[in-house]
Amino acid sequence: MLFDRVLEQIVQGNRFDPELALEVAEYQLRRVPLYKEFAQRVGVSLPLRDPGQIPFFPVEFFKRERIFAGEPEGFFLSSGTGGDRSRSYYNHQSLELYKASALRSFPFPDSPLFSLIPPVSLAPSSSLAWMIGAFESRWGVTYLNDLFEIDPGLVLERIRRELPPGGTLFATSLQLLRLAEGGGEPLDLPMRIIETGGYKATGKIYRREELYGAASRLFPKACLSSEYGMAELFSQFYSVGEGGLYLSHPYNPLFGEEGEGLLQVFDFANLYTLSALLVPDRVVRKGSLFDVRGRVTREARGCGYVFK
Amino acid sequence: MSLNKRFERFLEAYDDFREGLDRGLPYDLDLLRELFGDWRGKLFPTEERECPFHRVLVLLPSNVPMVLFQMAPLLLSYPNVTFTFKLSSGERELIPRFLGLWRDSRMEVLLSDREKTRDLAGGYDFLVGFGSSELEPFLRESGKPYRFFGPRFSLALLPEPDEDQLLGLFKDVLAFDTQGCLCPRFLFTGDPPKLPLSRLWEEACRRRPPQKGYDPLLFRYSRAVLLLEGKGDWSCHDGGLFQMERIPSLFPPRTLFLVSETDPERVLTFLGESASSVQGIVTPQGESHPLLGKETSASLFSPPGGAQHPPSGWLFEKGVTLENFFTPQQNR
Repeated sequence: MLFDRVLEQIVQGNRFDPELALEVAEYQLRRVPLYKEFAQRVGVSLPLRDPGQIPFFPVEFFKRERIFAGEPEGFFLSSGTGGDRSRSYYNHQSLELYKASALRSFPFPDSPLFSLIPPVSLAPSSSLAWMIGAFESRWGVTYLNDLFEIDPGLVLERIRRELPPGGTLFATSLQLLRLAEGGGEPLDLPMRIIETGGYKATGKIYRREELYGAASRLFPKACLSSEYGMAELFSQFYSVGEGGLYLSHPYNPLFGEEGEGLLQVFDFANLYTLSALLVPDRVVRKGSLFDVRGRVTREARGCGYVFK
Repeated sequence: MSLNKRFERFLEAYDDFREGLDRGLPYDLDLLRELFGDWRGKLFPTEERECPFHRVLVLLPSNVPMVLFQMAPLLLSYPNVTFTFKLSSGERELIPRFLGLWRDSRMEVLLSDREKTRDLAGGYDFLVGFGSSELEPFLRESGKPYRFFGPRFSLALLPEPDEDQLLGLFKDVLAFDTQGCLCPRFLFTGDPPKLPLSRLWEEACRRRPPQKGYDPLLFRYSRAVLLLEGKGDWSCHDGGLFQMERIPSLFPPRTLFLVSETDPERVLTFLGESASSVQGIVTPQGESHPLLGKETSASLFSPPGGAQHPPSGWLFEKGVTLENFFTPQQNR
């Protein structure tokens, strides 16, 4: 079965399997009408002969279309506000692939884990909360907060009290910023912080250095890493490569040319949605490592009218 | 100083500025030269007027360098007014250069971010704002009398365009990489697939290449989205030309949307509430259109190739003239 081979690729694969990728793409082209239509528009038809023919589908359409190969059992919502949120549909098999991918890509399983991201029981539409839940079931996670919103004073106090030296703390970018702005006394604890992105609600785009700078003032001995993920992707990337670059894997390789380009990822864990995704993030790629330089979506400028 | 003398000095500065335009600017230089050359012949001294306001703050939009020059007759007509221009980063290379040549002590430049501008607004007794809808609350909350020119877009209604008309229109579209309100974003026409679109669009894009700051990745992503949203695609590598049946979700730079519709009533239906944000309309001879003129906010009709060339006295919106410019808008 295709599911079993994809699961095996995620759990054990040590190199990208182009034949399996073609099979997955064809499976999706046959089952997701919008993907098939997109392929036709870019001049691709079945059968696919090599991975270079796989059409990379813009994630934009996850905001307004039900993209799923079959009947979904639920969906995750992307962060953000209003009607501009993506829906990532799943069934129990896609959750199994998601879990396998999350467990395999997490680089610090030996460290005691703590989370400011709420438990999935309190945030059921958050794929991030679901991922932390997967870690909880395997390694155990202590939750220090029940909401995505935080009270900086209370949360900092809990971190002081409960986090041991060498512990790992998950926090969204916005939570880290709120903590840093909270004006608490610096916490002199050797620890690791994994920021998971998500600052759209602030209406401002933060560079990673800016965020790390703010967090380092509050946590001067912390080692900071970033997790790159999104509701539309069931695999994640961690900034554990040389120079803080994100590392891709044989089960979520990047496509496209080396150097600057759009993020083109083939995520095997997305078997039941779409694996080949085009994301409007500017990346600089070198082999399996890449850096993210922000969204290419232009802010409103000039006197031009913005259509809604 | 008399009005004629002031006008003379303005023209000297204008000519020096035009001749000194160089490659360091973030804009298409050929386009700037063309526009400045054209406007030189249209500028004329107007009569002097009295203004009840003496310190006017003008918040200029980004990426639309012609706004200040379009205001020239206004600046010259009111000798008792000091104008302070708040510039965005794109204009910081251009406007100060011109004002330096003009050497009119009534013209000042303010370089600050939005938050600081908020504090500074207190020092002025009339505010003029161009640009995004986010600006209007700021103007309103300042408690000062103001005039706000909100975000706008333009369109073309050319039922059966010939090649010259299409090339002229494409030139209008590509000016300033489609960032100004005078750039047509939609062409309403009969049957797009019957037009020689690919060849002419490619030629227009070659003649008017992208400006500094153009992002090919934004174009690439948008094209992938619009390919699926649209019904036809005649894009080239740095310009998008798509046929649409409804308003698209993305408006990348250097992109025109074709709509197979020529009935004005249905054009209005297509536009929906956006009809109240139309700036200019391109028609075959630049002739006005009774229904579209009445039912949209369009303040300018022009022929293909003329959309970026408003007449000298045109002040951005229907009914706004040199005489009533400083009549404050009602707070909405």
